[in-house]
Formats: sequence, C-alpha cells, structure tokens
Amino acid sequence: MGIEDDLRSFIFKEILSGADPASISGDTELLEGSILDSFSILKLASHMEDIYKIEVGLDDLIPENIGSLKKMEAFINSKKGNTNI
Amino acid sequence: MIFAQVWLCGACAVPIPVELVPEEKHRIFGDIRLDTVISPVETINIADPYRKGEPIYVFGNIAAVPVKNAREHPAGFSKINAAFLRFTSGTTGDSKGVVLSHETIYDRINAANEVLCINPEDKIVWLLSMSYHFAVSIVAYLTFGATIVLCRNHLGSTVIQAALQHNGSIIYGSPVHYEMMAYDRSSLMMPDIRLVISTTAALRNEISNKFYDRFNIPLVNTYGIIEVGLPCINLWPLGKESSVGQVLPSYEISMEDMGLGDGHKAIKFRGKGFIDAYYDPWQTRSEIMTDGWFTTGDLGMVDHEGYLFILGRSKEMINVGGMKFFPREVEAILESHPSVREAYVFAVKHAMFGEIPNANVVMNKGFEDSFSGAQLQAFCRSHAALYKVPEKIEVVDILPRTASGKLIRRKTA
Repeated sequence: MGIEDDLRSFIFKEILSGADPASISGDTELLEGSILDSFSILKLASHMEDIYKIEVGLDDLIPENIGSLKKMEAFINSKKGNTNI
Repeated sequence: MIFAQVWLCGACAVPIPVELVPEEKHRIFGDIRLDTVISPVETINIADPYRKGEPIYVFGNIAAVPVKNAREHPAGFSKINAAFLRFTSGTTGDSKGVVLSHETIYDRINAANEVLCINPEDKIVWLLSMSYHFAVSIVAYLTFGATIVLCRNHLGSTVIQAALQHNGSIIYGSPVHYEMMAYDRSSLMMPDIRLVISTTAALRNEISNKFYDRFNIPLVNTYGIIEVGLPCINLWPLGKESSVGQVLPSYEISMEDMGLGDGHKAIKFRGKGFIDAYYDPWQTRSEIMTDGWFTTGDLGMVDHEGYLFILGRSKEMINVGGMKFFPREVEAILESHPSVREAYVFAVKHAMFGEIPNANVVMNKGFEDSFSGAQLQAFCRSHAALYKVPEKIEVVDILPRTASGKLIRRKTA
C-alpha cells in the first residue's frame, strides 16, 4: 500500500470511521472542511511517526505539510529524504 | 442569531454538538423533550427518525423541523424560565443535563465581564466547541458587542495568522492549541492580543513557559464549571502559571477540610448565576446546593494571595486498600521524568486492595525506544509512597481527550 492510500485508510479507520474512503481524494483540503480537528491531527502525526519512522514536531504541523493526503505524502518523503517511494 | 431568535420567543435551546457521532446525537432526542430541531440543511436529516413534519426554511440554508417528543419534561421544568439545557461531557460520564434560566445566563455573563471587560472593540479568536461553551463565552461575546473570529483550522500557524489578519484581541482555547502555537516556526507576533485564555484542561507549566517565550504573552488559566460559570480567572499569572487565579468579585469560595491535608480541600462556591436545575434526575438549585454552596467535586488549595490551585477531583480519587490519592499527583511525577511527555493514571480493580493504579504514558521525542516501565516505576517510587506507584505502565501514542482537549478519565477498569 502506498503512503497516500495508507494515510487515507488510517483516517477512515481511526478518525472518520464509517465514511466512504472514496470521498477524499489526494487533493481534498483536509483542514478546510473540519475533516481533521486538533485531536485527529495529533493522532495522524503519531501514525506517521510509527509507520514511517520519522519525527513529526509540533512545528511541522502546518497546512503545507498536512493540508491534503498528497501534501502529507510529500512531507513524509521529504522527512525520509527520499522522494521516489 | 438563531439562538437569539429562540430566546426572544422564550424557548429553551439545547445544543447538539457537531463533534458527536449520530448515535450520540440521537441519544439527546431520547434524553430531552425536544420540539424542533434547527440545523443547516445538509445535516437536518439527523432528525429523520423523530420528525413529524416537513422542514421549514428559516433563512439561508437553515431549516427547522418539528420532532416527536420522546418524553415529557420533568415536573418542575415549567417553573424555571429555561433558556439553555446542556448534557455535560464530564469525567464520570454521568450526564445530568444542566438547566440554565435566562436570568442565570444574564447574571453569569455579567459576573465574568467584571474582569474580562469584553467590549465592542474586541475581536475574539475562538478555538473551542461552541456547543460546550455557549452559555457563558459565546453569549457574553455577542452581548457585549465583540466580534468572534473563527479559524479555518486549529493549527498553530493558522491561529496566529487569523489573530493577525483580524486584529484579534483575545484568544480562547485549550492547552493543546497553545502548545501548537508555541511551536510555530515563523517570527509572527500578535501585537493586538490582550488576553490568551486557557480552559478545559490542566495547563502544564511547560506549555505556559514555551508560549510566553514565543510570544511574550502570558497564558491566562481559568476555572470554568457549567453549573457555576467562570468563578476564577488568573489574570496575573506570571510566577503562578498553574493556578486558576483569584476568585471573581461576584463569587465566594469555601475550602472544606476533607481530612486530606491543607493541599486537598474541597472547593465550594456561591454567588450569582448558578445552575437552576439538573434535568434528569430532576434536582432544583436548592436541592443541589443544600447549604447554599455548590460543591465542585474538585480539591485544591488557596495560597496567601488568594490564588486557587486545583490539585484533583474527589471523583477521580484512587483508593488502594483505604489509602487514597489523586491520579494527577502521580501524573505530575511521571511528567517530570525527562522521557515522559504526558501521563494518565487510572484505577483498575484489584482483588486484595480494591483498586490499584495503572498508567499510560506518551513518550517525549527521542525517548520512544528507551521506554522502561520498571525504570519509571522506580522513579515514581523515589517520589511517592509505594501505594501510589502504578502497577503497570504502558506506552501509548496519544491520551484520550475530548474535542476540546480535556482528558477523558474512565471509571475503574
């Protein structure tokens, strides 16, 4: 499973349980429509740390890094120092 | 605006928090006698199982739909000029339904504004659930002519930018919001801010200090209780960041000795704007406050300058074979260990002792791989009596909190 799919799966399993995963595309703005609140953002950051073995600081939690699934994937790749995963 | 219209009609409003899942929302329909549900059209179908008529469009995309009464109001409800009814999300999970009258809300917003001094010049950046904080905060802001600024999201950078863009003068949020703001990488400051109010959860000194270092603005800790209002605000926190402050002029405080020492006395208040009744089971103010005082269920101490420090809740007390202590005390010990970021101590049943404490901890960055339960237990043992040391300590990614950041304490497992 790719990073984007993994994050989508995590969001629907842990945060939006019961919703349709197809309702969020890679470009859907997750911070604009109240999809992710403060608690779920921290939960997601923790998931990124566990699965991708990266460090996510509170100062990393900005819209440019976590505003959409694609942005999260790019952020994780940049943290891992590899943009070709 | 809708609340104002409802109140002008003399009706009682019941907020249905958007954070709830449908099952929780439907429970409200059964717990309270509702007559009409008002909602944006997109979510009005939440009333479908109970509706008894077609939706009426109030204005814009707001609709009102009449619903079947699942129950009758308790006897006595009609004697109270009820304006607001809210089921709490308290630490025990026991929802009693707090009823506040029009007169009570008027009294408590005026009591709060004696020190907050909210006025038409204020722009308030709002970060919490409107449902849970409506009866004092939102009503007060609107009554005193302030503007409420809502953020697109609650990331630290977004809140700072919103405060700057709208000349925010007050921010109202929880410690988790301020922690995110304190770690903001930009050099943006918030020159128009006069108050940054923290509520809903204990404010750790680490967050206060970090926030002050970043913005040169002290965090103002408060003590809000749905049954009471806002009896304490720490307007001059420097040096006493963990205090909820001094008692406001409209309130009186009484510290009742519980035989637990000077640091753990029962906190009671009296004054204006107190709860009118609990909805279910029905209890009037005089039945709740039999001696004229409201017992908060919290314990703490007042220092020589009148600053109140909350040190635990009696309901959270863990009783190990008759030896009692408060989880917050051991959580603070664990959180003072360099490897621990946050701790949650709770009771589990024990055949011999009745209860014993266990703990969950969130590790600090860089210490994730160095967790040792035995080491943390040894650390606790060096700071607390043996009966307070958690029997089992486990690492978790995150502690359970409500949408507003309050730690969700579970009952004895």
